[in-house]
Amino acid sequence: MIAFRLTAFAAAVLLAWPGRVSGQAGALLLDSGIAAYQELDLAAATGFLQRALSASGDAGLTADQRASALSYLGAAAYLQGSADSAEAAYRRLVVMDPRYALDELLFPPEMTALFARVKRETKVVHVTVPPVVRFEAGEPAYEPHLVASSFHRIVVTIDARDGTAVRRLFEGLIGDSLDLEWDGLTTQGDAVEAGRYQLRVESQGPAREPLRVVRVPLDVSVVLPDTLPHPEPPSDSVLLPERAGRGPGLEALVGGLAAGVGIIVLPSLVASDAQLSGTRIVVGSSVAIAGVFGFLRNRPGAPISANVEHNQAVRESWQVEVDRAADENRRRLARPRLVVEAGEPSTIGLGAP
Amino acid sequence: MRRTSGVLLVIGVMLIVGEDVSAQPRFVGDLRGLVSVTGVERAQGESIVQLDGTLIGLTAAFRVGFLELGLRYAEGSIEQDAGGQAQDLVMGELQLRVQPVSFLQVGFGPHARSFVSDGTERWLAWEAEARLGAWLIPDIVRGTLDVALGLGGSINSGAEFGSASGVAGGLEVKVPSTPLYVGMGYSVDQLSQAEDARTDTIEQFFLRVGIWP
Repeated sequence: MIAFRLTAFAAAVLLAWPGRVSGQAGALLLDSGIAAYQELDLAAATGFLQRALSASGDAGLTADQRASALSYLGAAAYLQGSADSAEAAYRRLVVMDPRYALDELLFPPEMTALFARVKRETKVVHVTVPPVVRFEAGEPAYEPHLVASSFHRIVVTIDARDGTAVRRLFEGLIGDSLDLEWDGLTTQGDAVEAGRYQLRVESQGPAREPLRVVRVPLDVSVVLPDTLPHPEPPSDSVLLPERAGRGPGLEALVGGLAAGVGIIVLPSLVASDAQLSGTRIVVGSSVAIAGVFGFLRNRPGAPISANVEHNQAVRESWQVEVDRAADENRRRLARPRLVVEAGEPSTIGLGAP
Repeated sequence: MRRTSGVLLVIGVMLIVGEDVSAQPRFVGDLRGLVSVTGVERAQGESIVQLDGTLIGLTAAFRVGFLELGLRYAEGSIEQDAGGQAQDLVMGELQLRVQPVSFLQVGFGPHARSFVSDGTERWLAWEAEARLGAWLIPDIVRGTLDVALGLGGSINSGAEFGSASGVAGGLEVKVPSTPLYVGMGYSVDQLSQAEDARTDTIEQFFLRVGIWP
C-alpha cells in the first residue's frame, strides 16, 4: 500500500510537471497503473495506463510494456463494467501483437475468454521483414514472414509509390503464419526499378471486404552489374585474301611449266646417250597441266573459295562471340542486384473490428 | 627380304618421330616413304645391259630457319629382263641445303650408290643440287624440279670416277583434312667412269607418302 502511494506520488509529480515527460516516465506510469489496478483503484489505473500509452519518444514504452499496459487497461475497463472499452483495448493489443495471449495467472477466465473472442474477431497480420536484403533479381531471396491473429483471407502485394500493384505475392487464406518469397521482379518478369515501394498486406473479411492493411515501406536500390565488352571484329591479319592476287597464279603457271618442261627435257641432256622411258613425259606433262590448272584456278581476281570459307568461319565465330556477349549482358542487365531496405510497418484499420 | 623388313621398320619409327618433330614451332621435320620402279641401263663398250626392279626407302628433312639437312635412302633388288643374275641396288644421300629464296634450295653433299652381288661396288659422288619448288595450287599441290651435278667422286672397285649428274621432278598433293600428302615423280641419274668406260643410267618412277611439314 505504501509502495503504491509512493509510486502514485511520483507519477502524479510527473503528470503535473510541465513540458516533456522525461526518460523513464512511461515505465513509471505503467508501474503506477499496474499498482493501482492491483489495489482495485480502477479509475486511477486507467488514467496512469492511458498516460503511459500516450507517452512517446524517450518516455515511450517498449513493445512488451505497451502490451502489458493494454492488457491491464482492458482488465480495468472490464472490471469497471465497460466491455466496449475492454474490447477496444484488447483489439489494440491484438493489432499490435497478433500472437499475444493474456496471462491466465494474472487475469480471470472471463477476461481471457473475452480476449480470445476479440482476437478471433480481429483480422490482422503482423509482418516481419529483414531490415536489409541484397540479392540478384530473379532470385527468390526476399522473404517476408506473416503471423495472423486468426484464420482469414489476405492479399499481399508489392505496390509502387502511387499505389499500383507491381507484383501480387499471395492471395488466399492464412491460418497461423505464412512465409512468402519475392524475387524482385514485377508481374511482367522485369526487375523492379530503383525507388520506393511498399509491401502491402490486406486482411479481408468473409465478403472479401478490406478490414486492415499493414504497410511496410521498402526502399529499393539497383546495383547494375558490369557488362562484357563486345569482342573486336576480326582484324585484317586474321582474314585471308578472298580474291587471288597476281602471285599465286603466276607461280603456278611459271612453276608448273618450268618444272614440267624441265622433267621432260633435262633427262635427255643428262643422259643423252641412254634410252629413256616415256615416264618422264607423263610426269612432266602432269606437272605442267597442274600448273595451268593452278593458274586458271588462281588467276588474278578469281575468288579463293577456301579463303572465303575461312573468312566466313572467322566472321561467324566473331558474330557468335558478339551475340554471346550481348546475351550475357542482357541477362546481367535483366538481373541486376537489388538492395531492399525495409522501414517500420504500420497498420491501418479500415473501419472493421 | 630382311633388308626390306628393316627399312619398313625404320620408316614406321620415323613416321612416328617425324610427327612429333613437325609439331615443333622452330624445328621442322618432314618424312616421306617412297616406292620406286627402277630401271638401270648399264653401257660398257658396245654392251648394254638393262636391269629392272623396285626400290623402297624414305626421305627425311630437318629444317631450322633457312637451313635444311636432307637424307634419302632406298634399296631393292634389280635384275636383267632375261632372268640374269639379280643384284641389290642401295642408294643413300645426305645433303645440307640452304633456301635463299622461297622457290629455290641449293645444297651439297655425298650421294652413294652401291651395286651388291658377289661383292659391293660403291660409287660415291659429291654433288651440288638445285631444287626449284612452286605451289601449283596454294597449300594443296606443289611441283618440284631437282638438278644435281657431281663435283667429284670415287669408286671402290678401283675404276676411275668420271661424272655424275641427275634430274628429278614431280608433284606433291596434300590430302585434305589430314596431315598426309602423296606425291609422284620421275628421276634419272647418270654415273660414268672415266673416259666413259662404263656408264650407268638409273631411271626411277616413284610414289611417295609423307607427313606434311
